Amino acid sequence: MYQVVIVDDEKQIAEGIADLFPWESIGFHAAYFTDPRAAILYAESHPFDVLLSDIEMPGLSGLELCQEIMKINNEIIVVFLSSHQNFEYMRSAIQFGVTDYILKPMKSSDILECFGKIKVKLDEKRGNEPDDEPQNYYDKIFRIVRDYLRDNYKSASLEEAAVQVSLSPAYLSSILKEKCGVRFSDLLLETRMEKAKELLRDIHYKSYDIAYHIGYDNPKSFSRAFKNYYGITPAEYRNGKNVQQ
Amino acid sequence: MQEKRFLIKRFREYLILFMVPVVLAIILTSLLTLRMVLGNARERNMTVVQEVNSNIGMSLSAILQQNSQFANNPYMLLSLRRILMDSDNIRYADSINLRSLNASLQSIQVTFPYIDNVRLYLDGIDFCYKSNQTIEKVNKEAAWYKGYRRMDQSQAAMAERLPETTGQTGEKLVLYQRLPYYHGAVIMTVNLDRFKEQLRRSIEIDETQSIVFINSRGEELFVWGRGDKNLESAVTSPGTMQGEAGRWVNEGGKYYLTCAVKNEDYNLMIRSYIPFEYVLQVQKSYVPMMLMMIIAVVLAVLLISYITTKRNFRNIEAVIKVLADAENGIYPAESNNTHTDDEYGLILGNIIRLYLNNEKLEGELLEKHHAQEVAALTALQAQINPHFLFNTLQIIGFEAEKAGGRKNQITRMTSNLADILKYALADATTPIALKDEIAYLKKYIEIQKYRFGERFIIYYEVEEGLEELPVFRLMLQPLIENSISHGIRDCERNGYIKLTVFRRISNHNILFRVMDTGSGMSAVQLEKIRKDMQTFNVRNIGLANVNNRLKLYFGEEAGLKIISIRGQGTIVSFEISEVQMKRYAEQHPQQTN
Repeated sequence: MYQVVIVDDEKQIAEGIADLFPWESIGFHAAYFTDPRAAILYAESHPFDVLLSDIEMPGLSGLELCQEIMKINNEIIVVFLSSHQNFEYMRSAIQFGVTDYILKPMKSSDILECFGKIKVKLDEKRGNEPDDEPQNYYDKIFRIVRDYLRDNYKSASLEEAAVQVSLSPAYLSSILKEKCGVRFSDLLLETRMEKAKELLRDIHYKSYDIAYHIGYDNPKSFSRAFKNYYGITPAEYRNGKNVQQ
Repeated sequence: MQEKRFLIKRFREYLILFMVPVVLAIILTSLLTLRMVLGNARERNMTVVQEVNSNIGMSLSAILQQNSQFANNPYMLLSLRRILMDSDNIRYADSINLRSLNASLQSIQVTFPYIDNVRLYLDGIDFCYKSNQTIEKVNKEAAWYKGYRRMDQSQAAMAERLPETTGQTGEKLVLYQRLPYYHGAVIMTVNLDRFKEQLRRSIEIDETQSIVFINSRGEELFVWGRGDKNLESAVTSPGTMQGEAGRWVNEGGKYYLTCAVKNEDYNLMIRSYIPFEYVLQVQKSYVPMMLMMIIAVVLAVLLISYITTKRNFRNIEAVIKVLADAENGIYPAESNNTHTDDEYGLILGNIIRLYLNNEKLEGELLEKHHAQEVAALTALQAQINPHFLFNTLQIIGFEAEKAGGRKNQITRMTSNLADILKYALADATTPIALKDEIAYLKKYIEIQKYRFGERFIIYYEVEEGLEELPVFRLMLQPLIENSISHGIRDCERNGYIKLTVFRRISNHNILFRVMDTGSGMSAVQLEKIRKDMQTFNVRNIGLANVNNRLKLYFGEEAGLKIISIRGQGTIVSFEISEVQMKRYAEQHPQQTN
């Protein structure tokens, strides 16, 4: 477990990030402060690995806080949290040694993606082997992803799926490939094609509308995907021709 | 087509311009030649008339002279009288006189072969002397006798046409000459055919002329010349008995130029005629030449018009090219002097430069205007304070999670809303890839779906290879919003919206089109929306904003086009030329979100 300290002058936000996000599942303990100076004091007595800090705070800015804490621990990884749209500002922040930034309002997927990379980095640095879980752990993840796809095939994405299992998208992708032997995109395609068959059999659906309900941009690309997958066009399937299995 | 029209127009103008002097020249030449011909004709008339007169004078005066030999000799007259009174008993002396008279008359007939005979008549005597040695009883019914009796007492001489009688050979003329000291006359019969022959031999006359002889009573005696037959019977106008240099007369429906001279010896008018047709004929001989001249002028004008039109069109094409370049942002260098090969070009060049400068300034003004708008928008953004907005959204999200668990409608909506706001409030001037704009659109649609449910289906058709096309933020969203709010919302049935982006095969322009099968717009609504779009300051209407920005970044022709049919649906589209697209990409370096 690594330690992350969250600093935001707005208590609800600092607390929300610390409490509502499943930090434990991605290998972090979280603590939060609303006063940057309190965070500095904490850093002096408790060494931690990652600082997730707001940029604009009364009293001490995110950059100043970053400099203070780096004096205490220069190996610390800093991630800024900002609603600031100024990319130049962000770039200069990165020159100070800031690793990454997350734009507010943040979503779980943002944190997962960002901290997934940080964990990999920390593991390498510390020489920690990634935790090897028992197979039934991966099976469980696979089931969750599969259920997610069945419910959300229309707008499903790897990022959203990763949120379901509280993993970074990259990690989820590699788990699916290495432990379950399937690619996310194939899984999504399979789900959509199964659903397409179901809808094509249902005469309530107009064939022109099915592409939309399955989550395709337009009927042409749906048709092409269906043909590639089953060897016949959706129209042929609807007219009673059997798919090649 | 255009060129042909201009060619015809120019040809017409030039033709008028060139034809005026040509026609004037032709008229002037005609007038001059007419004058010359008329003068010439008048002169010829005069010459001929005078020649004829002098010819007659010469021949007839010889006769007169001979006549006067005995006419002025009283012995001779008395002798003649005795002979005529009593021809059976002629005295010796009288016979001598008769012999000499006879010789004299014979010599006349020999000298002038056209004299048929000469009669000597003394008033009151029943016999007269005829040139061929005969004493003849006077026939009171004879034409010559009647003619002599009709003769005016005051007249010394007269000529008269002998009426035609049977057995007569050719036309005859009678000349009367009173004796000066005795009542009587010398009467000569002239054979006209021979007389004419004599005239022909001695006087040259050209074929257009006719000479008419008229006696003191105004009677036409005969016509001589190769002129037309019309005159033989038709000369009715007696004319004055004075000589005249030339005037126009109408004889039997035809016009003649005429000239007359008076022969005093026999009280004859000798009148020469030249028909008007002759003048016409002379004029006609000039017609082919004039026609050739006109044809030459027409051809020359055609050539000149063709050349100038061609040249002007070349210039126009060059001007159009410069202007088209300007619209695509390529301005010619200040010292560009491609059109200065003539004065036209110079003027055009200046006008174009002025126009281009103006265009450039206008463009800059528009850019400034836009900058102001962006500033205003930024101020608005600042007022809303994204920091506040985003933090609030974040908290709402957390509260929703606390209340409803990890995944629920509210967290999903706030998450989408957060994404939309992040996207929309980012720097409006940096371009973004088309695929990002569409990803944003999908989030926007997802929120709209909460409001409208499954009432519409939206499809996206983006041609392969165009996903990375640089576009400005929120370029397509107002179009979709328009379709939803004006098309789908008011429509009873479910509708479709389709976004299509493709590259035209013909000109490589990129076409963006949003089509819906909603309720469509009436002509009035359509007119209003088109008008609103043109107004620069309508900020609250998304379409106007997009329209302005399209024109600003991609030129005037990239503006929105709206087609709508009530009850059928609406199509909003715009087209960006390849050149403008490249220019935009170069001028606005892309940044990924």
